Amino acid sequence: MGANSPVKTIETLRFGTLDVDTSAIIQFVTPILGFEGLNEFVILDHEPDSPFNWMQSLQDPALSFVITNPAYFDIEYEFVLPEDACSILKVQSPSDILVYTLVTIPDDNPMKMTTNLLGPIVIHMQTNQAMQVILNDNKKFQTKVRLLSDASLDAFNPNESG
Amino acid sequence: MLVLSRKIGETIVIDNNIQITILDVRGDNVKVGVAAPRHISVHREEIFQEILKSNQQAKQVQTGLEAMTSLAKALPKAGKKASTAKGSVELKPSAGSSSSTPPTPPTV
Repeated sequence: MGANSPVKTIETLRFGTLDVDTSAIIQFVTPILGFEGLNEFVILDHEPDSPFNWMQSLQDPALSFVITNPAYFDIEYEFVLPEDACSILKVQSPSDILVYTLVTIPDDNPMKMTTNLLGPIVIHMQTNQAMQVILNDNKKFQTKVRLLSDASLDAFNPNESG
Repeated sequence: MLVLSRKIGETIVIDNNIQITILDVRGDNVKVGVAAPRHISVHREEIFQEILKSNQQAKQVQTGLEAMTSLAKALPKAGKKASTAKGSVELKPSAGSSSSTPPTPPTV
């Protein structure tokens, strides 16, 4: 679609070689905690209609996160964007931004995946600048919120028990 | 580490524009007020650590595409919901453009 945006070719462990439209590259202006120095990512679809996306590092082929929007899972998620984030990302209105949360998928039990509501990824859609926003209320927002309740898992797999 | 003694109501100034004031001391509880420019982030350290730990766990190393594919199969409903769920996260940038009163310093 993009007229003449240059393309950058990157190597990834999970997706092989990718041609990334440079206009789609997300720049983290402050690092994802624990991943200092890795500030360029691209967001990839998992599958059509999937509630998940991948956030792949351009600098570390092995680094990719699964991300989602908690609303897909009926999780109520509203927060006041802190002033430092508004200022750093130059956010004027809520419609400027996209919000994702990081998903942790346990190796031994993927269905017990959780998402981190305390440190959402906020992206300014016009500038593609992003940051992991740190919400200061760890009573209201937790880092391990189950995406799928046991009840909803039963509904997905009516024939599987135990 | 610089160590300073302060009384209630006294302030430390960092870099000319960050003020840290001791507001109250009760037993082993110290109430601290921080006044800083908007772009300065102020957090409790344990929240930092919590997010750091969660980020490390979220980093996908081995759980590969098989897990994701099985998830996708298990999630038809959530998947369908995706189209209607978009945009339902509400955000309110605080302060906005009003410049009338400086925000009260958050207490830590």
